[in-house]
Order: sequence, then structure tokens, then C-alpha cells
Amino acid sequence: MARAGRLHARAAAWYATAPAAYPRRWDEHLHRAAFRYYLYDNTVAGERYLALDALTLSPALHARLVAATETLARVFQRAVHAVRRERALVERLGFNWAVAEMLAHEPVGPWLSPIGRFDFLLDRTGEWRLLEYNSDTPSGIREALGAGHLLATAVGHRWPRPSAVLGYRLRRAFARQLAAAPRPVRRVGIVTDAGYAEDFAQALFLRDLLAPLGHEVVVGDLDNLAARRGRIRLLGRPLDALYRLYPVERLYGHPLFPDLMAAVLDGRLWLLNPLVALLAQDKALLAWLWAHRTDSRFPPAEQAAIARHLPETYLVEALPPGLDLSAFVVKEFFGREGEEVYFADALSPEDWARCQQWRTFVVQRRVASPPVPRLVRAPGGWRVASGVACIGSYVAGARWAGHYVRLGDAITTNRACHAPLFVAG
Amino acid sequence: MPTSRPVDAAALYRAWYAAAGPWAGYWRAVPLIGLARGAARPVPRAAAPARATAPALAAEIVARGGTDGWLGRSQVLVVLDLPAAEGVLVACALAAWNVRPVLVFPQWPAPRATVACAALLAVLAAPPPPLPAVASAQYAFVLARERAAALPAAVLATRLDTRYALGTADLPDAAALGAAGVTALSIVRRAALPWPDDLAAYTQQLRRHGLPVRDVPLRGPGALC
Repeated sequence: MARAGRLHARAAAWYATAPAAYPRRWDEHLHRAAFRYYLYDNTVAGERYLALDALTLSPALHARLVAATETLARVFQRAVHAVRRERALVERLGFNWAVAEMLAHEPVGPWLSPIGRFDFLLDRTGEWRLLEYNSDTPSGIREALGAGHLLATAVGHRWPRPSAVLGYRLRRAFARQLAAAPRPVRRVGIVTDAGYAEDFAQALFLRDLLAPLGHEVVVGDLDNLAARRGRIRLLGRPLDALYRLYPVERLYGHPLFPDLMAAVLDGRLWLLNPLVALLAQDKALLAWLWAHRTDSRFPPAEQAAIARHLPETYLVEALPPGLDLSAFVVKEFFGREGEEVYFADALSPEDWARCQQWRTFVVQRRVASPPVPRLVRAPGGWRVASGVACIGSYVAGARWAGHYVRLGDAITTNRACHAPLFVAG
Repeated sequence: MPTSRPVDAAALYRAWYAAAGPWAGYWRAVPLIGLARGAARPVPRAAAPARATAPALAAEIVARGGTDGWLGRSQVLVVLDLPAAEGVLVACALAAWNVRPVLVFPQWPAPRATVACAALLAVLAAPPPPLPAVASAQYAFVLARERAAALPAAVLATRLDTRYALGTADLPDAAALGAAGVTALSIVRRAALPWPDDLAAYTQQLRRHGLPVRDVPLRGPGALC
């Protein structure tokens, strides 16, 4: 039985104290976030994405989150290296044969990716339960660093803000990954879809964070990538290393993908978040981990962490007989931002049959998390509703590096809002 | 010696934000953030063509909107899908006909970006004109038609591609429009330019929900993006 713990949300009390002033303070918070931290995409579908709210948790609960994050980072590192050269298995986990071949041969640095984010729910017993690992292109760094700092200033509280270490630890993880490149790195590219305000803002923020490392950093759109004379170029400039803020699986059909991967495999381009970053993020790997949770390849502390934090997860093609699916969630291997996540008991028989036929789904035991109050728009003002807090926990290299909280519905989607997390009492 | 007064990007940002009234959740003025960070600057001469064409375009809208009876009515949402600087100037000119602008400019204004922002920043360098009251105003979403320009590969090799497509979360859906009392839309655009795919998809979706969408193609003067 875990020690019970709770998350406390503060907005409802702040709003009740000064309901007339609250929207004005909120506007000001949004404006400051836009100017100081590139958080100009601070509304979604007309609603405020950056909440004027804070969640707090106890020091003990935070310490357990840090321990879970760092241990699970080692678990995933070990799992990926155990799996990546098993081509048949990698194909079973959702990769096509060509990418499986690349995975087996790509050069990999000390980290699967310089930055990753584990998404947890706090269950009713006070235990952190892992929903997924975002290691390919994790978002939320601007929010974790910037929104928390601004909010602490705006509300005048002096709660410890553990996420303040994120910039430093992220930079250190990038430095170590860059130092492992087969050739010296002078110029680093950050590529994204510049047509998406959020993605491009993240790229600019990351560029600024990495500036102290001393490399020339070029930010460009996917359309600005080209291959010429054996070099990968961004905006016409040859790159030595590349960080993608673009999902690698969406690159598969891109005309540049073969040249890009040829350059990576030949050591002409150092991919900072290589294909293994997507393998680590693959939800099918969660099923593999669950099946191998008592393997001796995992030291006892890691076996214990899997058992404690990972909800029971199976490939849809390998369900144990008699499993009561009504207690499970169905997830596509590579779904992002809540896409293709369904409660099994809400799926029609036809949709369930389709998931089984396609095979690229896992089922994961549903985690019940105590509701957290949040402010939502109501006619003439705001009202308090209950939400679910999904707690992202960053790992930079091997170290815990910050929180990224989204308050939303039972399934966290891009319509959830962000509230910073502090440690209090 | 400076040729123009320094611009307070943060003050302008707040002023244009306030203009958006109840639609502030859809509002974006990212070029002003870039201006504050030194990524771009206003170029007054770049806005000269827009300043030359906007009065005639506004007059054409007033004539057609007046005849058809949709201009100035709060129940009709206007979408100005014109080159960005031109759209802002047209929206400001329509303030006298009960219109408030809602800027939708998510593009980052990098130097030599494919969606150029020098002219837009020049017109945003002044705050909006006196506007009608929030509650009874008609709102005009001001888009940047440059977002959908077709460009050759040679351009994309060396210029940051900041073109974009507006998605389902960038403009109000039928439910949001209904909640705000909007019963119809007027899409104002340059007749010589094709409908961009994103706007076509948006209006199709609204029509499926039974919302009338009026196409208002303008034949006004001037070069197109």
C-alpha cells in the first residue's frame, strides 16, 4: 500500500478572493508569458491554455516522483538496448522492416534522447502510475520553465519550484549527447514544422537555451532541409548535428528521409534524438516491459519500479484469456496528445475488432486519479469543475529535470490546460 | 539618426488584444513578439502598397456589405482573408461601421521568412483606431493570405518557411459561434486568389452545421501576394 498523497489546486481560492480582478491578472499572465518565454500560443480553441493556477504537492510525494522518473529512465534505456537489434520483435512493436533495420544500425549516444518526459497519474492510493513515456519530441519545456516562474512572481508565493533546474539540466544533457558525436560538431540544426506556432516557439526557446553551449544553432522548417554533396543542410547551411522537433514517424514518407538516415548511419550527421527515441516512446514497449518485469536483466530496484509504477499493459494481439477489458484503456502504439486513446468499454464491437485487426494497439489498465478542481469558463464568468491532473516528469540525461502539468478530462488531449507545480508543506 | 519613433511592442500587443473583445482566445499577434525580441522590425515603405489599396477595398466592402445588409451587424462574423497589412488597414477603416478587428497572425517574423512581416509590423506599429463598443460590435477576424502562398523549391532552400494552415482550433467552430450569437459569416477575399484549403475546409464545416457563409470576392486595386 502506497503512502497516500494529494495534489492541491489553488485557482478556485484565488478566484474566490478577487473574482473581478482575476481575469485581468490572468490576461497579464498570458501577455508576460508570450513576451518572456515564447508562450504566445497560450490559448487553444478560444480557451486559455495557460491557467492562472498552481498545483502543489508535498515534498515526500515529489521525492517519490523524482525517484520513479530516474529509475524508469534506466529501465527504458535498458529495455531499448535489449530490443533494438531484435528485428522481428521491433517489427512486432510497430516498426516497418526498413526502419527496424536502421534501428539496429544507427549510432546512439549516451542517452536515448537528451530530454524525455514520463507522464504519470497519481492514483487513489497516492502512487505514481505511468501512462506513457514521451522521449521522441517531448513538449512543455517553455511552460515548465517559464510559466512557473511567472506565476510564482504573479501570486507572490515562495513555494519551492523544482522545475527551475530544467534549463541547466537540459543543457548539460545536450552537451553530453553532442560530445558523443563521431565528428566534432560546429553547427546544430533544430528542425520543426514552422507552420505550427507551438512547435516553432519550442524550437526558438530551445535555441536560446542551448546558446551558452557555443554551437551555431540553426532553426528551420522541414521544407528547409535538403541533402547536397552528402551533407544534410538546413536553410542552405550544412549541419553536423540535428535535433528534431518533428515526429520521426511522420518523416518516413518524406523525400528526404532516405538521405537523412543515410547521413546518420554513415556518421555524417549526428541525430540527437535518434530512432531509438521513438522506440522508447512506443506504447508497445510498455507491453514488452510488463511481460519482462521480472527479467534478471533488470536489477531488483528496476523490477520493483516497473511493478509499482507501470499499469498492467498488453499487446492487443496477446491478451491473457478472460481479461476484463472494461477496466482497460486502448492506445495506439504511436498516438500522440491523446489521439487514438479509448476507454475499452466505450468502444463499439466494430471498433474493437478493427483495433485487433490492425494490431497496432495496446490495452493498459485504467488508472483512477482523484479529481482536481479547475476553473472553466461559464456564462458570465468562471466556475469550478473537476479535472484530471496528468503530471509530466522530465528526465534530462539521467537526472530528473522538471514537471509539466496538464489539467484536463479523463483522457489528456491538446484541449487540457497547463498549471505549474510547486512543492508546499 | 533614428528615422522613426521607437515602438513599444508590449503596449501595442495589449492594445490590439483588447480590440478582440470576447474573441481574444483566438487572437494572435506573434509578429509583435518577434519585434520585441529584435527578430524583425517594421518597414514603413513595405506597407505603402497596402496603404494605397486599403481605402478602395474598404469602400468596396462598405458598398457590398451595405447593399447586402451584413456590414456592422454583430450577428455576422466577418473574415478578412487579405494580405496581412492590407487586412489590418481595411479592418481599421471599417471601425466606423461598427467593426472590431481580431488579429490571427501566428507567424514568426524571422528575417527572410516566407511569410514576410515588415509591412504588417509597420501597420501594427500604431494602435487600433477608436473602436465601437465591445458588446454590440461586429467582429472581423483578420487573417494573412500570405500563409497559403505557393513557393518554388529554390526559395524554400534558403528562406525559413513560415507558411501555415489554420487548423480546427484556430477559428471558432459552429458551437462557439452559436454561443456568441453569430448566425452567419462573410468571407472577404481577393477575387483573383483561389480559396485557401484551410478556409475552404473551415467554411465547409460551418455549412454542414447550417451556418450561412457568404463569399465576398473583392476586385480592388493593387498587387497580390
